Amino acid sequence: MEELGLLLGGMQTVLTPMNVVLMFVGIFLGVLMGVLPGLGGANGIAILLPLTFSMDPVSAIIMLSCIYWGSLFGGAITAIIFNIPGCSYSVATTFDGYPLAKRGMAGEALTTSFTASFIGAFFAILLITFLAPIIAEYALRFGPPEYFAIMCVTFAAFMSMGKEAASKVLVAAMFGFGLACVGMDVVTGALRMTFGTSELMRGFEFLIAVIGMFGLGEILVSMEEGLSFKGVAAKIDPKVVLKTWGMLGKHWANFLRSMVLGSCLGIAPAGATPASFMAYGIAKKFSKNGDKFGTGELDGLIGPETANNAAGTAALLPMLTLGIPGSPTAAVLLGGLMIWGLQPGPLLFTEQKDFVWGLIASMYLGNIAGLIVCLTTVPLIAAILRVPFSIIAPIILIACSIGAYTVANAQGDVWYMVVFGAIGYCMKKLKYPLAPVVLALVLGGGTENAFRQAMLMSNGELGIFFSNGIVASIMWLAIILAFLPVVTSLYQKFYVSKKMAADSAS
Amino acid sequence: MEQDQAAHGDDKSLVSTRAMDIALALFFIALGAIVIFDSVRIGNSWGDMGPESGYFPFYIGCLLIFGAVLIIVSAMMPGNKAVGDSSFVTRGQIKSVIKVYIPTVLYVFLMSYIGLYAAAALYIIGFMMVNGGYSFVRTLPYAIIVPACIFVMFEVWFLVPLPKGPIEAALGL
Repeated sequence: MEELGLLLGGMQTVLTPMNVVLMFVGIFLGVLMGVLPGLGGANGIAILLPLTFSMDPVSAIIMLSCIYWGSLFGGAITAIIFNIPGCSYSVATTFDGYPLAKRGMAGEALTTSFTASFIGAFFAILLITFLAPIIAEYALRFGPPEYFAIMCVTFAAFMSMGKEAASKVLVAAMFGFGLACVGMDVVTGALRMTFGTSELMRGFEFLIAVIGMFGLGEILVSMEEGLSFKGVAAKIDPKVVLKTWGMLGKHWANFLRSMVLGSCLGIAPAGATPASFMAYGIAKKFSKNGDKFGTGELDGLIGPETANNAAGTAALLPMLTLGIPGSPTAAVLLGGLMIWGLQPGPLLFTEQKDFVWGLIASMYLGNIAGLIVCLTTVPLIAAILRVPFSIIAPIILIACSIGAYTVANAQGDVWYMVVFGAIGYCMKKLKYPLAPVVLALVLGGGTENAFRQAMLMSNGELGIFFSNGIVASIMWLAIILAFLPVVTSLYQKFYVSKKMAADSAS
Repeated sequence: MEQDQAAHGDDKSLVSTRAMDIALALFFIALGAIVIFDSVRIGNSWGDMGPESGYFPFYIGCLLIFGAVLIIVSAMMPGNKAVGDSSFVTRGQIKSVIKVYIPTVLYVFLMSYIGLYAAAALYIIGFMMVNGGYSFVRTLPYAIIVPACIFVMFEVWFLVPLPKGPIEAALGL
């Protein structure tokens, strides 16, 4: 058990008074960002990233990753009290969470969902602890073709697992890749798509796209819906917590199913949302009270909450071991690591042992802190949400503009943010997924390098992507995932038309 | 909370989802065309040192256009009629959006001339008056406290300089 020793070492690095304070601050900020519109985990971390430049990397990553845990926990608060899912993966939480709250059991519902979140995340962290070193060691053998093939799987997974149309996923990803190409080509020094302007030479920083699309874009969407928080009263006291914990024991099978499902789907990109819906469906199937789902069943809350936090946490596994983030938030964390001069990927585990195990240790402690913060600050969070949106919104947008400006101290970036806001608004309303844009923008450079090096290795033969067992199987997985939407839609068309014909015949 | 209710008087649809779907897809086709055009300009074939600079972006541009064409085709399919005919945005909705977007654009514009702090103060005043229906006097506490907090947090604690204008210069900050 070499991992346990390393983990204990990591705990020692993390457990300084300053880091513990940062942890709680991060969690609280994260919960707050998770519940406020326009400030999700990804955007929140992007805005706060410049503030951490002066900290040492371990403290900085503790605070930023705690913002992430906080935002994962926080999504449940708006879903349960206000019936507004903060993110797509909290949609399933509203199904039974809000009815429970309406029956006056908001405290029980919140306690259940925080506990479920904690258990789901905890399982995923255990998985990371023991699986990450193995995957990293294996991935050390990966060359450019394998790396490129994994990129293909990443984006193909969005096409088959997302609920959006595959063509829109493709366009969103290619839009991101196209933006990533702007600026100087690092290999040849050629200027691409700058059209003679010096402003475009820097290229597009992905943090600006995150802040524009997830910040401004989201606020525009919520503004048109005439956003107002009208929620039920929520009260959590130790008695409710203990009583709820007492009730949760008999749901152990549901916890177990949901956390395994969440962790498995979470490793794939775009996994959290389908994981939460599938966990809901499975919980409904296995529950004795399956027909009462939707009216306020604890099982209907445990399933999606356990699964989505397990998935959200497991998304960090590919980020750490392969350098491929599974979600926009993981992408922003990856961007942070790169700014501090740490290149995520298999080498991180051999070259930056202290850092990696410090981060993994902070996941354990951060989630415990998350549970404590969530159980104690619900009234405060609910009070903040009742502040009129016309006061909160300009403050959020000013924070966005500061975040955009401080990335490179460039006024031009703030203008890009405004433009990305408008594009993000249109894309969101037309049901384009935004995550592939961000991921493609982050991974664009690496993907292109991998592609070029692979092409150099093979002298321009695409056959290199099928040249050995590993790369060929990854590539076939990508192809299958990419064409799955076509197959399922054809199947549905065929099946539905056949069924209709049969119906009309009878 | 009632101040936040936007004017819902006008529920008439301004533009259909189909029209907007096609318009955005055309925008992506134009982007794809730019990418392809520029890739061909800098060379998208095999050079002396291997793939040229436009080699990879060329395919990106092609896939972008391919995906956008698929979107246009599926938007015009008869099976998509219900979604296509639905409203992309109503007059009331676009009003609320513009009331947020225009002040934001003005704020970013002002930022480069009078600095972030003064622009932020004006932005908060304008935003609260336009979107919340607050009186000028009631916006003042927020317009003063928020920029002051930002100043302390960024310039003093974290030593991150933000854009400043003539007002800060006059105050000697």
